[in-house]
Amino acid sequence: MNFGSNINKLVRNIKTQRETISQSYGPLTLHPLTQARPIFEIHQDIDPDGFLKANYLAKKQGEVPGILNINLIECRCLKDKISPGYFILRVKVLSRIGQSPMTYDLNDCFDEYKELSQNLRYYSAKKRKYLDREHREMEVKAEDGTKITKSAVATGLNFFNAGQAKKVGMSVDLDQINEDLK
Amino acid sequence: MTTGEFDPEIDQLIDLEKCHSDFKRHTARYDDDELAIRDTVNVLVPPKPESSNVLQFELVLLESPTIPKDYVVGWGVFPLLNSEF
Repeated sequence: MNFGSNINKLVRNIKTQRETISQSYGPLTLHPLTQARPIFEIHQDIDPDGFLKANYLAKKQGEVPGILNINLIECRCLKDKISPGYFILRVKVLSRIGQSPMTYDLNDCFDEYKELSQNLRYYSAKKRKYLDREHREMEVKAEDGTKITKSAVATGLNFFNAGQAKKVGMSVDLDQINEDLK
Repeated sequence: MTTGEFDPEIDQLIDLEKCHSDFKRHTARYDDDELAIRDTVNVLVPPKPESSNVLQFELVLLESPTIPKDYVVGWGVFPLLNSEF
């Protein structure tokens, strides 16, 4: 048996395996990576303003050149392989090995960076506020017998102040968070 | 919310004019293992990197009374990728 026939056999095996898997389980990936939804997504109905800002953030990050922060620590095991003298370490971004460096002008996208950083700070501050609050919910029976969602009784250090949390529905007050951020 | 002032404990100063580290002396004796650089450099990278894009690091020996011009004595490359490579 030569190498070519072995490869052909392997490819045939993989094709039959893929067919059996896709017949029994459906397509292997639901969306291609470029169309996949982000892991952390703000829901449109709950927070329309935050949804728009997060979408804008995701879109702009694919258009504006990114800033890399490179920590140069040391060159190891140089010993006497190079001649003594003064050295610098220079960093370049190349489109491929051996080609001339790619350069971007910061002035072209400075305003966009400012906007992006503001949006990022807004997003992280909002996330922090949300995570810091008690937002566990539980189902209880109302006086007329219907089931309603209520914020759960607070636990932890300040559990004795739990009686104050009586807001029905979503226990996180988005208007309050927005006011705090302003 | 932050007030917009520069806080060195949280914020990072970005200097894109600087494309290399500060110079360091290397005496090149048999017991000089390392050349400690300990510096930070910021570069702008393409928003959608292709698979061939690389970061190139060059070690440059600087000009001095005994050395006639700058020499690149070593280099290395590092692939530039994001999550969609």
